[in-house]
Amino acid sequence: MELLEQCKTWNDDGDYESVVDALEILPENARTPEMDSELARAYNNLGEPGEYKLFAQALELLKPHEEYFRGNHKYYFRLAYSYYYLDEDGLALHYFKKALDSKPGDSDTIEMMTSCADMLSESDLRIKMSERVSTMWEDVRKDINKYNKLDKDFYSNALSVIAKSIKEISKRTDVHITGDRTMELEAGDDKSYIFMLQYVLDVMPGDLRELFDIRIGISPKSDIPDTSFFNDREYDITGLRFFVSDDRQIVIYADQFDMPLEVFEKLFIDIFGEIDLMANDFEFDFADIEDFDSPNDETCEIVLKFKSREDFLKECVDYRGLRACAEGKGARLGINAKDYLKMYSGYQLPSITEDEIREDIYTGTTCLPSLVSEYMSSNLFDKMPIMDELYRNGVAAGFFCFSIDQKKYSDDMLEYEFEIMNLRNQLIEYIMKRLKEKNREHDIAFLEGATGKKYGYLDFLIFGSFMLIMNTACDFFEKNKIPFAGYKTFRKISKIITFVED
Amino acid sequence: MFNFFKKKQNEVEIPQVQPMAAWEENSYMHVLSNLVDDEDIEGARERIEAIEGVKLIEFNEKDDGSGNLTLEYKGEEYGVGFYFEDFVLESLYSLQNQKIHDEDFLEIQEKDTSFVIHMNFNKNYFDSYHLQLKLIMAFFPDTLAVVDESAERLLSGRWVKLAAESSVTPNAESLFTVQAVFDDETKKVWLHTHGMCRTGFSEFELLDVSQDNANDIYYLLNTVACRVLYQNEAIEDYIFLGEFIDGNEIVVAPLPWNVAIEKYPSNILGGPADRVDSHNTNSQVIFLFLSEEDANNGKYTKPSEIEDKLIENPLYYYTNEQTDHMKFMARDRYELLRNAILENPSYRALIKVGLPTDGEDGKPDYENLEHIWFELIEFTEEGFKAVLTQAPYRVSAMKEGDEGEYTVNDVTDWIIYTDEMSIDPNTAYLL
Repeated sequence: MELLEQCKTWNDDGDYESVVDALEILPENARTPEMDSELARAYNNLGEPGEYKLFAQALELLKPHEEYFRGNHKYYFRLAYSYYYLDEDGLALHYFKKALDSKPGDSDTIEMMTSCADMLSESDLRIKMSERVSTMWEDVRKDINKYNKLDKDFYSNALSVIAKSIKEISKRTDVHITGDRTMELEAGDDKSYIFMLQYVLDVMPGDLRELFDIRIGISPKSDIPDTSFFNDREYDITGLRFFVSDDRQIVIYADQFDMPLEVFEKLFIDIFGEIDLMANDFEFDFADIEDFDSPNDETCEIVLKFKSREDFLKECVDYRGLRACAEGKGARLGINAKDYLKMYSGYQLPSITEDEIREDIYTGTTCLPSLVSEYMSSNLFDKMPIMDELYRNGVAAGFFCFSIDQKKYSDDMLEYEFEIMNLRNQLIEYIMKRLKEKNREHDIAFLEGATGKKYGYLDFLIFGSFMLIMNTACDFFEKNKIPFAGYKTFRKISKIITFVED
Repeated sequence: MFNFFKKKQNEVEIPQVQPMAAWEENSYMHVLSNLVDDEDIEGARERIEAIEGVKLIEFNEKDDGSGNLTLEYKGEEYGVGFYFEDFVLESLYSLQNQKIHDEDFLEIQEKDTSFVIHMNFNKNYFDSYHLQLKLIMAFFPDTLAVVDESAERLLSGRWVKLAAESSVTPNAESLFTVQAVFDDETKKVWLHTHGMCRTGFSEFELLDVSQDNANDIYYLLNTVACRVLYQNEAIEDYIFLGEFIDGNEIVVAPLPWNVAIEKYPSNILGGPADRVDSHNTNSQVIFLFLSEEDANNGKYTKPSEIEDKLIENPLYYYTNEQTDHMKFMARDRYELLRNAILENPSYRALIKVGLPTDGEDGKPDYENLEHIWFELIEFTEEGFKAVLTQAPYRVSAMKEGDEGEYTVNDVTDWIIYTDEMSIDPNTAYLL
């Protein structure tokens, strides 16, 4: 019998160790995708719930072969199974759905999907961010206490401990020690990271906070050199020119471009800092000499408005003058992460006829637009990178929804909207009061909310105290005799958890 | 690090590119037949088990006639779902390019129930598609027609039967359709495929093509889709597709539709307004690179800008896989050709034969064949006699008008001309 067939037989017979023994000794490049899949199956079956190592190994074996195994039920099921036992219920559901598409009606797959959907809906078991962070700070304090405060290396050692711990708890965060007692945490590629990092800092013990200054986002630099390095190559940035429009559009001009985007990214972060860049949401365009000599479809509109390149360049600044120029054009600079998190944007949706929860919204505001966008554009079983990352970190992203007695406001939409807003604010106060009493006021971040034809919404991220927050909200809705209220996560597949219903 | 070139942080926005629908990502087919009307699948299990190469693992049927099955076919495991559903023939399907016999079409229009059979294609999508047709015939041997929902095409039951019984998989063009949407005011056409997504690749499109040239430029789109399917490889940046008449290479460089439409005026057919509810998932618009410099500088040329060149007999290369497939199908259905000609002596037939070319050493090169059309004179005991219709380029021993006797093993394609139509191996169900 060939090795692959033998491994299949061993797996079928439950002799998983034999599969591992036979395949692990082979060098990686000697294993076929089919062998990797059988080895992953063995790891999945040897893994115990709650112990991640074997499931993670299975996942690493399977992930590279997604295209190869397109349409293969067993492959998708194994992949989903690994995710499931790694507590990645969103990704597990996505791949179980693919497994079901490849084997319609399969009852094992449907059962696993139901379990995923339940976990994603209720999610209280997975909200562990506060526990993880609290344990982290306790351990940090213990480790720092091992050092002598009078030692000249105390602060650098302590900062190293903090940096390592933050990196462990938030693996995708890069940490930069910028001074004797200062540290910067890279902001990540989505505002949701900043919410998580801010939570880590908010619950930092007071005594450590007094000793160290930890900031979110790389700060702007005052002394930017004329050259920038990327991939061992030096780039002269003195020839670059920048045009800033009144509506936060920046046109980057060079006679000819030979710089990778990464050079510009680094330059802009050096000039503005990460948080200001995110907060101002500048729009960027590029122009070179060709755009003036022979403009084409790609030439940006700002450039087209100028009669000549010389006229355009008169309005430009070099990199040294860019920050001041942007500020002069109305950019808000010097924003810290905490203030940035409070900044919100409004959105309006075309009048929707549906009464479904969250489908009836016509206007809203949000401090985390990417989360709302992801929810609105997703289907039931799609991958949701922002939600999945929050979930992975033990954060619940969801919303309270509630209805009010619409008959009272049938003639006056403004009154209706005001009442929705009013209830939202009261609910926030009510929850915050209860959390403050328990000294857990950081365990929730309110993200603003929305008004729908039928329901009002209050959006949030919960880092801890999940049941306390839910019970408090339920208590609030009951006391206020709200006819309908519930909670739902920002996933279309998740069910509404009803607090009150007439 | 925060990538501010790619991502807007402070606005709620719905991405233009939407996730694929189930019928795009999977292959959905609706079967029409008298047995379907009766919702009768008795004996289906046994007929499926009897399909050559199929090992039925599981067959579950519910009281309402819905169910699922698992089987092994050519070393791969497949899961298939099925159910009955109300049916109304959409007007779109009456305009399809697959010829449906008139009497069949009348019956099709009367049907109000269909049997939906859906499955996920694997990387061997030709086999997957072939299997789906075989299963259809096993469920309903009296299949009248099939609506291939994923490709938005109406298939004749006769074609499905022929394809299912064939030892050769259906060709690439069976897996997708090319639809044309016309704008009577601007006289422009938007050509786009349906059915590619289920194979794991994207759909392809051509925007802003002149109505007058659409029939010729269609081949650009068709060839791109066929090339991707036969090579089983997505286009990374660009591909060489053939040659213009001036000898310059035809280099195709597709762009995702949301990027592509930015290069066109916003009010064109296939522009943003046509992407709100549909054609907004996995689709790429075809552009061209006219030179190496253009490729290096990312300078994309719209096909509409060089329509004159595209209609002037461009030479599109066939892949080996494509010619092999044509050859196998022509041989597989050779008996249909023979019978048709014997029964209808008035029909004219051309047969393409692969001739060994002149080798460098003066000996015939059997590795590199030149495929040339012969006109059939008569069938013989061993094969057929035919006369050469054109002068070969690389076979010096033969000239136009030469006669020869060949066997089925020399055939690489054939075509029959009846009084009303031409019929090739793929459309042999019309015989």
